[in-house]
Amino acid sequence: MASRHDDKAMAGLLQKSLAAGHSTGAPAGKDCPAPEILAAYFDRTLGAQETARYDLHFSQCSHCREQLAAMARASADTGAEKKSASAWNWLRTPAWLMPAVAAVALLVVIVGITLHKQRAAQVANEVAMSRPEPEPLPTLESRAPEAPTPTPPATAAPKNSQALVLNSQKKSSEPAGQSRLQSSTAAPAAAPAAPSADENAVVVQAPPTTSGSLDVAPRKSASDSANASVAAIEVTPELEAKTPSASKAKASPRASGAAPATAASGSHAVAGSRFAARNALQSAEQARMQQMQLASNLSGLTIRTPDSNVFWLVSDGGGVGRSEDGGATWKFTSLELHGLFVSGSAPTAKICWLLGEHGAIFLTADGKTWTEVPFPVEATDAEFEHIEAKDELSATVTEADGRKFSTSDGGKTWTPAK
Amino acid sequence: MPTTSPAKQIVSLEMAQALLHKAAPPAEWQLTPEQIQPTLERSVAHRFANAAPPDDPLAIQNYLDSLQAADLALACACSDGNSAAWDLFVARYRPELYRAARAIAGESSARELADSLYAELYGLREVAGQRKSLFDYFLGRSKLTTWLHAILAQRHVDGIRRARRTESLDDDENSQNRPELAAPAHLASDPERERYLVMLQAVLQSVLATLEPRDRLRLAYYYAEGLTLAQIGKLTAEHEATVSRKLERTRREVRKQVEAALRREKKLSDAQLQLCYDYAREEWPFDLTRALSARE
Repeated sequence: MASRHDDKAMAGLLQKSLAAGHSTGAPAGKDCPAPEILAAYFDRTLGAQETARYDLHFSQCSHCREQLAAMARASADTGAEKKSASAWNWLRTPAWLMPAVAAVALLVVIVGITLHKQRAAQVANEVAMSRPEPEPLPTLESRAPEAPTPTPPATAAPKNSQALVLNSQKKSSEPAGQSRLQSSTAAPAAAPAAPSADENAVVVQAPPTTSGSLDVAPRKSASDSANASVAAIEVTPELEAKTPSASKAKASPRASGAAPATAASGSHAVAGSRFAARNALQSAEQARMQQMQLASNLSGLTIRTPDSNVFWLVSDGGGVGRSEDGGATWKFTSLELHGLFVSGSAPTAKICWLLGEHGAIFLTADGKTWTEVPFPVEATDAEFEHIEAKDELSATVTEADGRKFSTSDGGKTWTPAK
Repeated sequence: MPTTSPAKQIVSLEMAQALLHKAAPPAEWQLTPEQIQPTLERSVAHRFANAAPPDDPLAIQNYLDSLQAADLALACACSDGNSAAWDLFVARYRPELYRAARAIAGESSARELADSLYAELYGLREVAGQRKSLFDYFLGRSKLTTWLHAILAQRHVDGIRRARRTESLDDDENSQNRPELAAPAHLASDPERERYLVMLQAVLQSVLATLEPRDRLRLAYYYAEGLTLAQIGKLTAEHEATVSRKLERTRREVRKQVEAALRREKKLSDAQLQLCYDYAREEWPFDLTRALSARE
């Protein structure tokens, strides 16, 4: 804390020292360049030697610096006005109409095809259900659950937008109303020792209000059941044949109750239902990620690790959360970042690289302690937007213009990469 | 006309013709190579002012190729009083001129600043019966818009500095009847206070003097001029994230060097160093520059 105060004092001293020339009101010296040169310097049309010479002069001459500062303000202001004016130009020209019409037409076609496929899958399913002894596909049969249990209808789920129905196979008899996210004002519950009807309830924890490390109270979350749901979607064959619509599948991903045999009701039906199954899978996965964020109350970037129970969650201003139990508990730390995290990569459950908005790169190799990694200095004008890591030593950052820089020594040195 | 050029013989009519071809001015401007040649000669003379003009015509040609040909042609035509060129300038640049003036001088003074420049560009001033236009000073090394911004900035800063000098004189007169700026009562008891502050400021000045010009420039733009990171980036040709990073690095380095110098040269202990910072922070209204200049 004292250090920050000292920084403030230093900033004040710098301001005093560097603004000293202003108070004198001294006129331009004989070495001060004419506006022609100032303009050329601003436009960067001077040669390297001339630029270096004027850099030196401007660094010592407050009169010239004031002029350059005024030019920068004029230029930025004009740029902003032009930008704001041009932002509405599209309304004045009918040129946008053609792409817009094309986009709407494309959307109509896609929706039509989707509805047609879903309808076909439903019809095929109904036909299959009416068969007395359907022939199951051997491969699907082998993966089918032994005793599928009925799932409460999706309409029984609460309409609260935060409510996520995440049923596990073990608790399928639970009323849908109990399977939801509760608000942070809910009374804290003790960590259950055994599965219960409340097991799916996730209480969204209050955000950390202080910097440093904060352990959120342990609570059994629906993440496990979410995992179970996702797993069920991935391996349950009946979903491929039974899921009538993406929305229904989202509300009740397992969509059980169908015999495995119904999957054999024709390739068309299988293809159609696969589409719905994919939708369901994606929806459930989105719900799971949303749950992760709600659980930690951080609106940031979620980073997966190879371990499905371990997640990183980062927020504006350097907040970093780690969960090792699928989102049930979180541990937060605060990194010194002035801005946003733009990307992250976790090649293992413990190793994680984070890329900040202002080029700050952070690395943890043990999942606990973070170090700031030197930035690839070659890329002076860089605006990096992605990081991909292989291990704690090797990572590649990608610039907005596509240029890449790699390190193989934990960020000590960076070299341009393809 | 601006200064006569020693490079009079260097820019040939063919070169002027080539530049005109590149600029492709409208026919109604009736620009000829002979009209634009003197401007090019002045531009070459200005560029090579500190060195002998190169004998190699290729070097001259390369320089001429780097000029903003279209803007230079417009400036020449306007300077020669071509009404079609002036109409184009008014339509294209006048709104820009007022916008820039507003950004530089604020709403209250913008009109006056822009109008005075506008009059000079048109050439209301006459020397020996000849209309003198400010356009004569545009040599094509930058975009015309940037040059206009530079002129506006120069006028504005000169005006402000003139006003500061006047205020400064008034202040000096008043200060003779005013008691010396005093420290707050709760700190006045410490006799070391001013010594520490002056010491800290002096060391800081010497550290700043050793910085690379670009590093010092960034600090000055940020702390003295109050520019944003994006504006500094525009001036230093760097992305604002880079500016932020380099500013932070320079600040850290300055602090490190200041502390090292205070320990090494002034033999200050950690506690005394901390005291320096405490004084600097608490004594915010205390004018260190005034204290320094009083001793110098």
